[in-house]
Amino acid sequence: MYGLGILKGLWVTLKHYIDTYIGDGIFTVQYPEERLPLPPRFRGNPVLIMDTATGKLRCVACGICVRACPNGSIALEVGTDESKKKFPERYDINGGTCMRCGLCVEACPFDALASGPYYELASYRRQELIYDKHYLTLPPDKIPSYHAR
Amino acid sequence: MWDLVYDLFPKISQALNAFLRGFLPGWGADLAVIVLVVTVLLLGLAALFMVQTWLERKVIGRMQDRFGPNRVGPLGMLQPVADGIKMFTKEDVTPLRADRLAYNLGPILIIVPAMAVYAVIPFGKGMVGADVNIGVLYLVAISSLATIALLAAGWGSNNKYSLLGGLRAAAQIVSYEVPMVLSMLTAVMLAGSMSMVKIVEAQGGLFGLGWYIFFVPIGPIAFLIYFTCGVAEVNRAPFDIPEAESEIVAGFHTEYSGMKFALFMMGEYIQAFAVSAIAVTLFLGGWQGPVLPPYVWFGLKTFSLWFVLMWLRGTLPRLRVDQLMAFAWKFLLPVSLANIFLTGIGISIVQILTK
Repeated sequence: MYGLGILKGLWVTLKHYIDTYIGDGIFTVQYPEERLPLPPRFRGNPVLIMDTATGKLRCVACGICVRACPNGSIALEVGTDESKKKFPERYDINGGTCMRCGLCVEACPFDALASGPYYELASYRRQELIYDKHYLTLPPDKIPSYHAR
Repeated sequence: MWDLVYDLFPKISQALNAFLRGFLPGWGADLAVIVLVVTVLLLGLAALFMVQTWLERKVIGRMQDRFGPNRVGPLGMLQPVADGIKMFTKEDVTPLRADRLAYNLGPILIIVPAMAVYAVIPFGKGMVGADVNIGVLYLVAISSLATIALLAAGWGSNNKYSLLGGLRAAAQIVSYEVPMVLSMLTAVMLAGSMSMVKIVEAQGGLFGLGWYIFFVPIGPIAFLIYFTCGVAEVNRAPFDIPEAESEIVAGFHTEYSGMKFALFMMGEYIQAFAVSAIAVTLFLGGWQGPVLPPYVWFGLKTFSLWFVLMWLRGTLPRLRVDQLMAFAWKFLLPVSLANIFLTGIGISIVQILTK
C-alpha cells in the first residue's frame, strides 16, 4: 500500500524522539562538563611516576630518556640528595616539540616514565608549553597507562 | 471566574475599550484598541518565530539522538536571541549587478503576506482580526503572494542558483495551490460559508467535537491533502526543492545575509505556522473542544500540527522535481476532485434524509 513506508519512517523517528526522554536515546557526552575515561593505551606526553609508598620519584636521573628522545625535548639536570642518590633536579619536557612517540617510555630502565593523561594542551605562549617536574609528577592511579602499575 | 478565564482575551479588549471610552470619543477608542491588538499580534508573531526555531532545533535534535541547543540559557531557550544578535551584526551584502529593487523587495514581500494571513484566523471565541465573509478566499489569495517574493528574490540576486530556486518555488506553489484550494472547498461546502468564524462555529457538535476531520471518509482525505499541499506551499521538507542545499546551494535566498536572510526564515516559519493554524481552523475544529478555554484548544492543536511539520522534516528525504509535479497533478488533483464529488453526494443525501 502506498504511504506505508512514510508511516514506518515516521514511527522510527518518533521512537528515537521518545527514547531520548525515557530510554537511553542520547549518548552525547557533554564534553567540558563530562569526560570519558581515557583508554589505557592513550599516549600523551610522558609523565614521571611517583612512588606512592615513599612519595618520591622512581626516576634516578640516568639520562637514558634524554638520549632516546629523537627531538631533544627532554631537559634534565641531575642533583644528588643527602644519601648521595641521584634525582632529577630539573626535568622539563618541551610539549611543543614532543611528538608523543613514547621512545623515552620504552627506553626507561626503571619504569619511571609513562604516557601521561594530559590532552588539553593549547596555550597562548610557547613558554607555557614547557612542562616542569611538578606538572609531570603523577601518582600511578592518575595515569591510565599500564606502565604505571 | 471561569467565565473570565474562558473568554479572557475578548474580555480584556472590551474592558480596554470601555476604559478608553472614558476620555476618548467612541471611534478613537475603537481605533486605539484595533491598533493595540494588531501590534500585539505582530509582536506575538515575531516572538512565535523565535519559539518555533528553538522548538524545531530541539525536536529535530532529539529525533537524531542529539540534545539540540543547550548552551545559551536554560534548555538553550536564549538560542533564538543569540541568533538574532548574530544576524543583526552580520554584513548586509548586495551582489554586484543585482536587480536592487527586486533584491531588496524580496524579504519584505515574503513577510507581509505571511503576517496578513493571520488577520482572518480565529484564535479563539471572538478572537479574530477581521471576520471577512470570504475568509477562505482571502487566505488563498494572500498566501500565494509569497510566490512573487520568492521570484523577485531569485531574479534580483543575479545568481543562477537563486533564479533556479525562485522558478522552482513558483512552479511548485502554483501546482500545489490547485489541490489545496480544492481540498479547502470540502470544509467550505460542509460549513456552507467561506467565513473562517462560521466554519469554526459549524464544527461545534457534541462537546465541541464536530470537527470536519471526523467526517469519514471525506474529512480525513481533505485534511491530508490540505496538509500535504500546505507543506509544499511553504517549501518545507520533504517539499523543499526550491531551497535544496545539496542541489542549488540555498535556492532563492543564496545571496541574502544578515537580517534579510532572517526575514526570509521568519516569513517561512510564520507561513508554516499559518498552514497549521488554517488546517486546524478548517478541519480540526479551530477553537472548538470540550472543557478547556477556546484559545488553549487552538494553541494545542496548532502546536501539535507544528510538531507534525517538524516530525516530517526530521523523517522524510526530499522529493525529486518530476516526482513532486507528478504527485500534485496525477495524484492529489484527481483525489481532491473526487473528494469534492463525494462531499456533494454526502451533503445531498443528508439534505434528502433530513427533509
